[in-house]
Amino acid sequence: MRVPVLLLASAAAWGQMAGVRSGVLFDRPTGSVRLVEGVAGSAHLGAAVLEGVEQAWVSPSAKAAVVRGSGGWALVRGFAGDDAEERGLEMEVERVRWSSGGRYVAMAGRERIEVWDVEVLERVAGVDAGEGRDVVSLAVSDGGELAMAWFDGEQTVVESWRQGQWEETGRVAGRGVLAVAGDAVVLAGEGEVVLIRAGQEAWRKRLERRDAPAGIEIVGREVVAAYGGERATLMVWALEGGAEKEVELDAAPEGLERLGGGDGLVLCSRDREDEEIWVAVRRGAEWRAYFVPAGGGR
Amino acid sequence: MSNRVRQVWLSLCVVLAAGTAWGQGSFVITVRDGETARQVPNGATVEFAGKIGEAKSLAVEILYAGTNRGELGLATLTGTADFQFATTLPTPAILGPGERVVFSIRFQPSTSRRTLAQLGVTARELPPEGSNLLPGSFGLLLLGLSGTAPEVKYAYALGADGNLLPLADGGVIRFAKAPLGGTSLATVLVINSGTAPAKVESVSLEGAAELTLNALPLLPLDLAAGASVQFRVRYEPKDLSTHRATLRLGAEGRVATATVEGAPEGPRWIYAFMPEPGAESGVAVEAGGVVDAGEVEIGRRKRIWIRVKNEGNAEGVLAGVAVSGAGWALVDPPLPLTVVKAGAEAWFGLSVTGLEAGRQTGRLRVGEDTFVLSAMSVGALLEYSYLAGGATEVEVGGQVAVPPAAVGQTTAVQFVVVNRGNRDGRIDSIGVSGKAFRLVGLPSLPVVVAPDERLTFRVEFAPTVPGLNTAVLSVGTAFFNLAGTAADLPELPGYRWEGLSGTVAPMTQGSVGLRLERAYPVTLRGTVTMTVDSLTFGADPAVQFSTGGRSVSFTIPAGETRAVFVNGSNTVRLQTGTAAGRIVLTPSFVTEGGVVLTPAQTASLELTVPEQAPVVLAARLEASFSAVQVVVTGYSTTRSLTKMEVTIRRRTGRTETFSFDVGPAAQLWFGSSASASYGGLFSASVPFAIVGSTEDREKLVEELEGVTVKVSNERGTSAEFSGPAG
Repeated sequence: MRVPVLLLASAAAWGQMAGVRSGVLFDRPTGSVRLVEGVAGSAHLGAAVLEGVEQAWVSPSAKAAVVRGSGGWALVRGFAGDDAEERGLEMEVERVRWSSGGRYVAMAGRERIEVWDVEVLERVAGVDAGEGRDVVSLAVSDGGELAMAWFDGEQTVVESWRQGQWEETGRVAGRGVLAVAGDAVVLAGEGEVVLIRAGQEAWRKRLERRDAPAGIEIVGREVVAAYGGERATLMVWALEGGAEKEVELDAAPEGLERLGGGDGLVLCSRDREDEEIWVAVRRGAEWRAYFVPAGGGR
Repeated sequence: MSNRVRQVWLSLCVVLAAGTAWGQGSFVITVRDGETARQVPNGATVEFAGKIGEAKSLAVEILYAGTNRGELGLATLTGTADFQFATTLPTPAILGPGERVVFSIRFQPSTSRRTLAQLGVTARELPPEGSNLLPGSFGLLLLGLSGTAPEVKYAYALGADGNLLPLADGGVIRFAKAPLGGTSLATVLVINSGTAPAKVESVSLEGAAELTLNALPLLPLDLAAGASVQFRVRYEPKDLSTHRATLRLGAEGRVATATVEGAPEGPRWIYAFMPEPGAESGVAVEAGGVVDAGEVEIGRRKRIWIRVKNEGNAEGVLAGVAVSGAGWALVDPPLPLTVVKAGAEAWFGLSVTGLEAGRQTGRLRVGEDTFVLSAMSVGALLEYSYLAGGATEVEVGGQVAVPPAAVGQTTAVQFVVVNRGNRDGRIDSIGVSGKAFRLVGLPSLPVVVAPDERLTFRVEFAPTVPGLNTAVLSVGTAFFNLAGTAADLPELPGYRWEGLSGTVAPMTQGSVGLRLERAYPVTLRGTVTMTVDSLTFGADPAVQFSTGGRSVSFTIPAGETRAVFVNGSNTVRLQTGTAAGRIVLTPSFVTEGGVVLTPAQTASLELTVPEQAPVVLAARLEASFSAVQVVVTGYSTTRSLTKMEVTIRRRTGRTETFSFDVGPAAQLWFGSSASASYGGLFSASVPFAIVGSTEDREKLVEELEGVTVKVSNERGTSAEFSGPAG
């Protein structure tokens, strides 16, 4: 049997050493989307790749963003390159959620939700949230399937948009948050978390703490929820179930969003100078939280 | 003298000369005029005074004073017809010793001129009876009669021209164009143009008070013939109306009447105060009256305008305008000696500034006229004082001396606002500048202070800097200077660092804190400044505080020891980065008042990121049918690499290890400006070529399990890091 041989490339190939970037995130005080230079634990905010925006939600792939600039709301693809494209949005955006792959984005305005396909810059769905519904969270899968959580005053109801209508898929107590990935829908309410797969409740966890998380995401094979309050923690469950892992946080998270173009999750962004930016990353087998300084470092 | 009088007189002289020479002592002639009797010698002339047109009786008595008998013969009365025998003549008659005859004569003057007549009576003395002596011839007794009468006439002369003019009964003395306010005189003469004294009995003037008698002699008086007496009539008009009076002159029993008439000339000033210049109507005010400006707010100024109109019949001169009284002032007054024609006007203004509550008076003089000025000052009159032991009044803009206090301590004064006015006082704002002072017990604003009520609040002095502290206290629109002194601040106590120290691991996020050895009396503010001394010619920009940048501010509250950083925590995190070097933290201290307390020798915190062997953070094997690439991420605090060892693991358990000298490539990278943003971080791609058939390549890719990487630098070799095939 012949064995293929791995041959070393020429020495000139070593010119491919480079720096390390962890992604991009929106920095409100500077009104820009800035690079995260370095890796969590030794990272800092670097140069801006998009400036002059009042608000921005960057896609997990960092290839697109929903932004509000002087011209209003727009969906931007390609930040600064020659292939940058922009499509204006007609709605006042209050809530944005990207699919984990970054192709689809769901945007909620007043009583209206739209889903856009970034690859074609087209709206693929536009639905009413339902009169009087208090939409608390929304999500879109990498297949473009829209899910919404709304609060009825006591419970948070998860509904998926299927075949032109809302279809309830689960409920949790209190005001909750929602995340989807593939066929998995995870919903966290006050004191409980429920995973729904293929429309069926896979598991439901009852927690000691009675509050709802600030945000929740499905990352790989794990469900990650960020809790604030006096005891700020990151709770992690395997999709398959089992006991949760808890990571204490030094700063109370404001939400949980995917870091644009990176593997981390943004726990806190800053609204003004001197505030701290915190991200959570999986380092080996553990999730850890790191601050990302935003100064010049010089 | 007429010819007739002259002839009578000459004949009398002849007769008298003859009579005198004969028997004069035998007959005595006595003349009676009224109650007066007098003997006159033969040939004398006796004067009689009468009144023209009025008859009076005279008696001439001839007495025989001899011892025999006397015989009176023919009696004649010659001369003026003003003398007439009144009764039958008593002669001829023979008179014994002591017997007499009386001739009654009526004297009725027909003129005031002197008139002459002569009574002639022939007379002789008879020889004693029985003596047979023959009587002698008749002689002639002669008595001259001289008649006189007074005649009173009047005349006057005006002081303006001095021309003497007759003044008849019913006549008029006229003062024309008499200066208003001035004095005009007329001299009246009473003249006796007759031949007998006249009696001036009375002079009176009745009518306008502006006309009066002046220099009147004591009456009644006798005015000798040809003499005169004079007095004056004074005219002092106070207004422009015509004045009249009746002058009555009594003399010789008759009263003559004349009219005295005065017609003055001059300006007549009419005053009015007007709401604005040129106004059509205003409020008239008499000279000596009150000009009421109404209400004026305290502290504000109000204007009124005075119109002076000459409604007289001649131009007038405004000598000047003056005003007195606190708060009163003239506005655009006319120049002194301004001429105002008849019918013309002059204007000027008055301003009054409200000084204190109540009536505010003054005086105004316009020419010779004066007025009382009056205004009612209304409004709030806020007076200010403060209590610091005793009460001290303070004027607006004055100084409020607050008792001294040490830094960190507090003293206070009670500030008092009293409304001495007569209206509510409104205070919209009360504030103080300067951090050393604060106000306590302020009312809800705006606040209204009623008359005679007071408002109080505390002004606290809590100095943060030693020495003189000043500030401005504003109470509505009033302001005051606050001043207080503070003793020097104590020295800054020692401090120490907490948390990280000494050598720290790269790529960590640790915390540091700052603690004073003892509490400080005032709040301190400060900054911890980070400096990074790189050992590798490239300071890692990731070395920052968690709040961003290389400086972080903190506060140490008064009375506490631990610094509170801008993140609200007693510690602040910092990132050590991935490049070897020295991180130095240096604090500075300053009080809230700006007093720098940073010691000359600061105790800095030095953290050392050591040079050490590289660390591999991630490694993955990326395979395709044409190539295999190993991507390694890690850091080297020396910012250099010497060797990389890559072990490709196959699922069959077979491994192949490749070792590379990466020194030149690493030197190229870490020496580039592009690496400056990453400290000791690097990402290296190691490409491998695959040779063999397509089938062989597919099999190889399927067999690839992962990669294990070790990286070395001058300080050693990293731990092995294994990553999957991706």
